[in-house]
Amino acid sequence: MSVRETPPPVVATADWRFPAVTDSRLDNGMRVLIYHCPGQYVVSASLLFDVPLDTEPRSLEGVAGLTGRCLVRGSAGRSADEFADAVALCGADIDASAFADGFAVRLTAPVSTLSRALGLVADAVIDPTLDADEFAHEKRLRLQEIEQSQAYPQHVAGEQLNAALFGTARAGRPVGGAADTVEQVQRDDVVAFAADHLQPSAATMILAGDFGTTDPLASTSDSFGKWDHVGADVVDATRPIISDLPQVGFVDWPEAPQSTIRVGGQGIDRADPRWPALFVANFAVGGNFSSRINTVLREEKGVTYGANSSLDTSRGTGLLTVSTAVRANATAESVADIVSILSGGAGTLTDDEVQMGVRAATDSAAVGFERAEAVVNRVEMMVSQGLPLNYVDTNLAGLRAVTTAAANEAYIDVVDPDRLTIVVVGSGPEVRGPLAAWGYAEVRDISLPG
Amino acid sequence: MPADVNYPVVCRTLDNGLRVVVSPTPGLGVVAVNLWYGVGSRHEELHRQGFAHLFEHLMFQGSRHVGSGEHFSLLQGNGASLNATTSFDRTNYFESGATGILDLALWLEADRMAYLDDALTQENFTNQVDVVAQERAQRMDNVPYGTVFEKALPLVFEYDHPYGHLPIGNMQHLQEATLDEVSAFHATYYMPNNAVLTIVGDVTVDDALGRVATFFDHIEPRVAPPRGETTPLPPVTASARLDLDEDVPSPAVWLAARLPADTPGSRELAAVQLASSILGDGETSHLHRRLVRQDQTALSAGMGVNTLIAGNSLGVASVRAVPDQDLDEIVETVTGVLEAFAEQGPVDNELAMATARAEREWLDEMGTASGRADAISGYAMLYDDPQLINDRLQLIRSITADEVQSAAKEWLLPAVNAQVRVLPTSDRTAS
Repeated sequence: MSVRETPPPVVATADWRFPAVTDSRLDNGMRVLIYHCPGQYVVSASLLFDVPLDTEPRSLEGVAGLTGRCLVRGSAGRSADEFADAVALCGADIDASAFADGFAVRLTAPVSTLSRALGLVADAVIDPTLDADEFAHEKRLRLQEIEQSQAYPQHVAGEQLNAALFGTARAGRPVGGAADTVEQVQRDDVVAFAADHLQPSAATMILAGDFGTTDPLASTSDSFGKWDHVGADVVDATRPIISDLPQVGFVDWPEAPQSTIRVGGQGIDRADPRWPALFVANFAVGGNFSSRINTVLREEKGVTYGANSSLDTSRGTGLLTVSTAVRANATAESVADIVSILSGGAGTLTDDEVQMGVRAATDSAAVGFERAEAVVNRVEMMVSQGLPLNYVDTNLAGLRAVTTAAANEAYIDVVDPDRLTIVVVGSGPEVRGPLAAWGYAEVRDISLPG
Repeated sequence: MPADVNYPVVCRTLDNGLRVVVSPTPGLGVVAVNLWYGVGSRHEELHRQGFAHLFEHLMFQGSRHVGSGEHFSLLQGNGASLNATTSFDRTNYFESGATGILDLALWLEADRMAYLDDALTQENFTNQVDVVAQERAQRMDNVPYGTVFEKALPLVFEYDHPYGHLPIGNMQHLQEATLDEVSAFHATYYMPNNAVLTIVGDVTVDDALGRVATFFDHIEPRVAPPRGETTPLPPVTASARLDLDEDVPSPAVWLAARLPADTPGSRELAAVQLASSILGDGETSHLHRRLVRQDQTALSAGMGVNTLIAGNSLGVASVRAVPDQDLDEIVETVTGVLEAFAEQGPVDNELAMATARAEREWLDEMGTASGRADAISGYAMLYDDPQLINDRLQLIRSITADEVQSAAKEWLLPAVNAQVRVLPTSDRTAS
């Protein structure tokens, strides 16, 4: 038998489509979105509330996150331990947390216990105890978590990048609040946050899985139908301004064998018509293993395990971030390489690169959304960022239509290599010196809280 | 539970010894290819620790008909996900994507199984030694507590035991390695008769087997490496303790235990896993409730099991203390928690909760074609029985409270005999 010497052709498959939605509303105003995903016997759910993070008072930042932690610490007459036992008996997981565009109580449960598990989510949301001792413990844990996080260079690099990019906007500070404001939060603030913002008219329940004989809408209605609470008016999020100055921040990390690097700059949100084209452009420059950035830093120079760029979005805002960690003595050279590659991307994206990006972005959908959890996560993002429910399919159509010219145009429009914010967490003058000598911007020394 | 999930599993062995397993899921629109080779860090020579993993990197640097980096670009350029991992017992390579990628994935795997040597260059080799060093730095050396697990291993396994070192290995050893050793390693371990190829997804059995034959039939078998028997070791009875001063934010302690090896349908290991879950997995666990919630002396506390086949598996418990807490007291408390459970076993709903969790985690793992393919490859490679994928839930459910108690007493309690304690050397302050 002869051995094949060239790659076999990849047979194009019919265009994949996102699972169809059943969109309903309970009498109390709660929206219910249901996605049937065959073979997904572990159901994923998210009860999403329309309460952007900048609803938090400036002096009490962290109150949303603390509310999330406390919701699952006892409700409807059950103590924290009793609640945890009940969840565990369902083989389920329930947690609640805040993020830039909302607040979500997330559930994972085998379909066989879904109805019971939804009842527990309802208990946590509708009738939480918010016990004083539990609150005190969760607050202490959050403060300790902040302290511990400062020992992790990757965490510090990300946090300092946000601070430098977003300045005084909420997005510039930790989602879970910083120590000074978490200290100020009292139990009453958590009680008030829950009462004001967890209300059926601002809630969307998203469910995905192979429901079999379980009726997910009826189960949701059984648990939440009688909830008639009315809280505060929903506040529109303010859109943070991203810094447009070239900046270099340096955190000294004695004896770090590696420098952790974050480079951030202006992106666009997913509602922007240029999104598909920019997505494909970013794929070529830094968004995949064979991208320009990873090829140079990893495969040619061997200074890193990996380097990538990503486009992150929140409602009305987009960010381009390059992340990597490199051998300490190659730090300045690597940062310069990244900026040079970002700069060189303008107008140079080739047909091959763009076609590869288009196929990668579209043909990956079936695997990318194979799990129920992936479907729920995407819908949560769509709803919280104000995107339509047909977003995934229309975005795929948009991606398929991206041309080389469009990708180049979007890239030139959005990515500005002269106005990037760079944060390096590395060891001493031998790393800082060459960074300063490179001359992109004056190096600002960043001190961490002691 | 949904049904007792039952996945179809069809096995064939090619003339060259390649074991092929197909599990069709009609209508899924997705296919997963998973190739396990029977080689991991336990097969390495002692002066080449980390070689199996370094070799895995080189499998992406091209082969006779595939250019350096093309493995990634061809597959990713068609929307596929792919990667590889190296562990103590095996190395796996996997791709998943829309069904149209099947031929491409099989061709790429076959080319590097048969003809890796043609593309090996000193330049690629040196480059990947550098990349692996940065991988180690990123995952371990530049992370608080990142090397503690590595330092705990020698307390339960001797230096020359198959599990005496981690797959990431020793960077000095890798720098001393030569290109000839890469060729020799390929010749020794990478052959059809030391591999399992699993295809899961939107395929028919006959079609999938036909495609496999097209791409793999021509590869010649070689002398398979010996399976290598390792004598099972009893639990550690003599106390061993290592104290470290490191740049970490909090005192912490790791406890390690030898556990029974993973054997087909092992009730004993399943009981150990359930005991470990009750003691150390999540918010209902004994360690969490006692140390994090009741005493409030710890930020986190947990326990986990690393299932292995050569003589023993490995269990690890760890506690991150609240800063300034005394580790002596914490270890004493952990000992008390383990002793009490070894004496009493699970009470009330504890076993039901652990079983429910294990079932959900299993169904979750089975929730993707690639997850099922990996499990099937594992059962075929390690136990010669891919059908075991359909027995797992029954096994979990059949374990009794008595079995869990004995497992805790015999295997988990001795964890207190092997301790690594880490104390912060300095406070990292503003600079």
